[in-house]
Amino acid sequence: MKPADLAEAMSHGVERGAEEGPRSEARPKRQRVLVALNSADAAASHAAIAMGRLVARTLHEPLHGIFVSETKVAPGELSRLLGLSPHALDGVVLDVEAGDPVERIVAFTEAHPTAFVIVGAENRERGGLGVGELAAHTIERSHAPVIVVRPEERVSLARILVPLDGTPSTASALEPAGDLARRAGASLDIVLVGEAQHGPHLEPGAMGAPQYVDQPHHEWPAFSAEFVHRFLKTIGHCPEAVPTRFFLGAGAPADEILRFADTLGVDLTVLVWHGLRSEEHGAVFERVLRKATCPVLVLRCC
Amino acid sequence: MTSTASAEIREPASGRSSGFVTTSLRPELDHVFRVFVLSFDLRGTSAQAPESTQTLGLVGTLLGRGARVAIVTDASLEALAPAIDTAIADEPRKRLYVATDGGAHLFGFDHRGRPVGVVPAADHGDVLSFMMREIAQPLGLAPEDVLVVGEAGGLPALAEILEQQLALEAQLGPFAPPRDPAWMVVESGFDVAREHEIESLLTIANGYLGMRGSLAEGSSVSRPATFLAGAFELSSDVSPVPELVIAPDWGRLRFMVEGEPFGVETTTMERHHRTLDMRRGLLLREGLGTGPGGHATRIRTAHLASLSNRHLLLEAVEIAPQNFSGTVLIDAVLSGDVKSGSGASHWAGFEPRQGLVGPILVGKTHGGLELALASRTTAADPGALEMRCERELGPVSAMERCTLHVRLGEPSVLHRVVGLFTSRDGTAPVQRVELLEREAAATSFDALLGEHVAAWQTRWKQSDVEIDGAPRIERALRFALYHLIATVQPNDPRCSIGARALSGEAYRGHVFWDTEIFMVPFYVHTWPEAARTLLLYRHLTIDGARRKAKKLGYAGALYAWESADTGDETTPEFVRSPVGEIVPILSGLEEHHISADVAYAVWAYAQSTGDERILREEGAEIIIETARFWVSRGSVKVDGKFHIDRVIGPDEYHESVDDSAFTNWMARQNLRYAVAIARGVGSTKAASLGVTPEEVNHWEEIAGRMYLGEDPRTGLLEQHKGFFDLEFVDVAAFSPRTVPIDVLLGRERTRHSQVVKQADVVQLLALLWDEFSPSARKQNFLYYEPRTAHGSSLSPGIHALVAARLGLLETATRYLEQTASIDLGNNMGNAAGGVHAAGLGSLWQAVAFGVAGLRTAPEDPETLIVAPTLLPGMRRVSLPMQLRGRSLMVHALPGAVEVHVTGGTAPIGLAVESAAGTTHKVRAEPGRAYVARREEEGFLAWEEIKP
Repeated sequence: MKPADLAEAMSHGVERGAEEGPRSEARPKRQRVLVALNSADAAASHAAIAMGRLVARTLHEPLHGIFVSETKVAPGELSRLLGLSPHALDGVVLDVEAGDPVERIVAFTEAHPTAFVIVGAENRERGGLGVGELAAHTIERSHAPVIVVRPEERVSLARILVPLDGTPSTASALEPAGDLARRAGASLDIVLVGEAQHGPHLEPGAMGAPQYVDQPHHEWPAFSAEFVHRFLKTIGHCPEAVPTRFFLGAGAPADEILRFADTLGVDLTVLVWHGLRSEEHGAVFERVLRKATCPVLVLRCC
Repeated sequence: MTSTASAEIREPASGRSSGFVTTSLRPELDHVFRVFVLSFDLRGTSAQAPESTQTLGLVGTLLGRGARVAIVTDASLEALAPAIDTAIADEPRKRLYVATDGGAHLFGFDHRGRPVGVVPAADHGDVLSFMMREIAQPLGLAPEDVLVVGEAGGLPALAEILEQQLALEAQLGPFAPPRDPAWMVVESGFDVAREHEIESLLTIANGYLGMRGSLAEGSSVSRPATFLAGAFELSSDVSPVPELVIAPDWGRLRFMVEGEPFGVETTTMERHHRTLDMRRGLLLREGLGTGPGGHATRIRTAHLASLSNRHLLLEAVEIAPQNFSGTVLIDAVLSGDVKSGSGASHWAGFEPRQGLVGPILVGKTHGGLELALASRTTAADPGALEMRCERELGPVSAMERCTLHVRLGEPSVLHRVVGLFTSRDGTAPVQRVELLEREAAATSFDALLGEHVAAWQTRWKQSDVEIDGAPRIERALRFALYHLIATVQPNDPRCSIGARALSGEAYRGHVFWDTEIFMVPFYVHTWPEAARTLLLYRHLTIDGARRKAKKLGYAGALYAWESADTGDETTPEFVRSPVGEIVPILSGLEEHHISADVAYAVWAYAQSTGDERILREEGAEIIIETARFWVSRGSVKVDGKFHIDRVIGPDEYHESVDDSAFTNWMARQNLRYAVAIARGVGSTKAASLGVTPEEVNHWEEIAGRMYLGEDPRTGLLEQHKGFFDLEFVDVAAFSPRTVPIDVLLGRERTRHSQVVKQADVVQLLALLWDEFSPSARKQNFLYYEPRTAHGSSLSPGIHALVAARLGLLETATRYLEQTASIDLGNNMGNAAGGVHAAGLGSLWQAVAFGVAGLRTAPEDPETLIVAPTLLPGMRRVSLPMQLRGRSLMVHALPGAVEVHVTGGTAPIGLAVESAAGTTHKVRAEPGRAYVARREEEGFLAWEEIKP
């Protein structure tokens, strides 16, 4: 790519979804935290708001809420409609619209730089990836990071699990997770997962568990340091200051992710999704999403 | 066969420079081609006409530089052969192919320059396809490296193109990349993900130090490190261990082109190649890129650590602006801003100075090691280059900042000579480095480079292995030998070789049995002085081994499983596993076979070199003290046998086992060697160590009573007591897999299964081959091979060796390819921490001892047994070998084996086995050559042939 093309591409990247107003290099980039409010499930909305407040506080951003129904309703009616307490939406910047909920949520993320969309999983509705239609379709159609939280789940950001398959393409999506961890003062637990009986990745720069472990006390620290440096720091642009631990999964990827999430008591599991439900990643993604017992952050890659 | 080599000169590859070229060559020829397919039109002339001879002479010159050339001609081989004989010498002819009669027949040439019919595969019937399949594809050559020249223009036009190629090479000077793809490792582009392993692979070293092949100007992911062999400082781990000292970074170069930094992350690169030239021991780089301001610049660099003077480090830089004239700043930096992988800063402080010829960085480690590093940068041609250099000293750095006025299209060349001494080299390192710089200043750069290249040529002459028909294996072997040659310090017994050589920080530079069992055999047979020095390291550290034995309650010497500078044990006691468990590390406490391994290596060295002196002195002490350890280590039990309990054999999946077959057999050898030495050549030394005849008798008795774990019914050795009762796990059923099998099965299940981590009994077969009957060798290999998971890089090479000796061709091929891929195959994920030095040594052993089938006769070390087994596709394996003061060249061929005695003063025995199982022997005289021709499953008697 020529420098001019590069500059043009970068310029487009910055401009897409930029807020209106005068440009200023000094003005910090603002990224919104958006809660999708769901009239079909009060508990889901409540959980999403709680998670949203935590994320927004962590990023020092106001919390935005979006409510979309067939006919437009007055913002003052929202708490009642959602079955929330009168003060549950205090401090939330509300955007009430009429139309298709997922379409409007996606439109919001395309119009405004959005750090995270937080959606509550519906307890009654186990269709659509097991998290309800609103959450499932938001995940499928939004390219912004989406956090899915279930009503019964603890809301905290101290320990974040990042499963990786050892490919650069997957790791390239990690930047939002690293940034969230840095701002939250959270630690990252990296777990390398892959089908145990599988040929090596063909993607250049991919890294599987070492075929040879001559001396485990030398090999594993060296391997994990290289893995974390390669995928988390170099490709995933995770800040150096974030403390990390490395683990190796030995079984079926989805089961290992769930096992580590449980064993390590993590507060958030990060899933990088290629956007397809049919292939291998899709199956792992879907199973973890259905079975997770902590909030899940979905990052789109590729 | 119809040749497709009818195209005219190929289109230049996209992305290459155009518009501004720095030579008078046609733009599409401004490239060092590696494979040539040439139509050789003899119409209207004869093969011996002057123009034919001249063109063939140019072909010969290109072949001599390493090019692979295929000539396609309508003539017959008979018509062409005399001209080839006249114009092309035997050695370069090995890289020539001739397709005669319009491509109907294809010939290669053997080591004697004789034509050999080559049968290309049916689906690759033409010459170009053959060259692509034979050379280009296995070695990963880019299409732009292949030049096809058609018939238009005839021989004069062809000669002109060849002359231009040679002129280009001359013009490039030291920056010329190798022609021969089997002598180079090329990394193109820049991949942040792979950068650390690329740095390991491209390491340059000379035994005194090793420098990772990092980008000179650095990048966000670069991890440059220069390791000082044998020098250790404490790590910054929670429990500090000794780790190799990271010297100040001497190779750092920063380029500013018209005020903009030139680097892979700041410059848009059109071309970027890094090439390890293994033949010359050079790391070359070419980057052609355009900065943000539009300045297009080509920068070439060459780095080396001199093998002729190990304190000298050289750099050459060529800068050629492609579309501007202007100013380029080059900072040549000596930087003490370095840390180890553990995060330790080994340096207590630095004192940058103004030296007489350049800046000097003087430093001192926390442990008291003093270092002086001096640098001097000059213009290659001061009269032609406008350059001004100033020195700048920082708190921990010393730098030359050179400002060049560069002119459009004109390359400007700089030379940098760096000297390094430490207090380990004697007193006054500052004075010594200044003296070295002054001496170097009086010598031309080309002369310094020439001495280095000559030193490498000497080593390659003693070491290089040619494998015709298996170019990927051949190059992997060159890569192995490159690192083995580069990593040994042949004159300093304070240095041994760490598990990752001098190429990475993994394993901290610690020395394991890897050195004696996997690497020393290569040195024994190619560089005996280096082998001796490595063994003397074990003598120098024997007090550490004595301390370890005493600490654990034993007598004699028990070598550290992991040794650094003192010989004391440096293995940690715990590690956190990747699945989160805290796992005790028992190898430092239980892996005791290392003492017998060291003794074995000393004995094998003495047998193979005839160096009795070591058996009279240092070697005697090693063997006697380790024998004393073994006597104290076990006990005679009720069965009357001597048992050794609670050890770890090479198979580290099974810890705390009793009667490890490997350990017991090797301990018995250790005791036998001690008996032989104490009663023979080392009796004086033995007496000085307090050895009595009764003690020697006791060693003999213990050796005789050693429990060996042989099953008389099956001929199998039980790897350790109880092994046969463990669960059988079909390792192959878990293939392919992405995790080591012990992780997959879990530690407990692995421990209670017959899954073997690495060659254990098979390793024993390889080491003590003549102790076992042919049926026992085969039975044990066939039993243990399917149970072995190769969880160690030490394993596949030994399996290749044993499989080749057993004639299991497909198995041997599979393991040989696996061994060749350990580092170069990039499938391990941990070459980032350095190359696998033992794996490299095992690759040589697999070829020399397995494929070529070389070993000394057990009853007569003055006789070399030759039992080659060429693997599928191999047309010839040629390797030099040192044996008891004689130099041999062995050529294993499909129908014969030739041995040339190229050096020495006395005859040496050669032996082959006949089809009937008898042995044909000959006393081979120095300066003469012998051949034994194949007959069915054996060989006919030796015949003398013309050398």
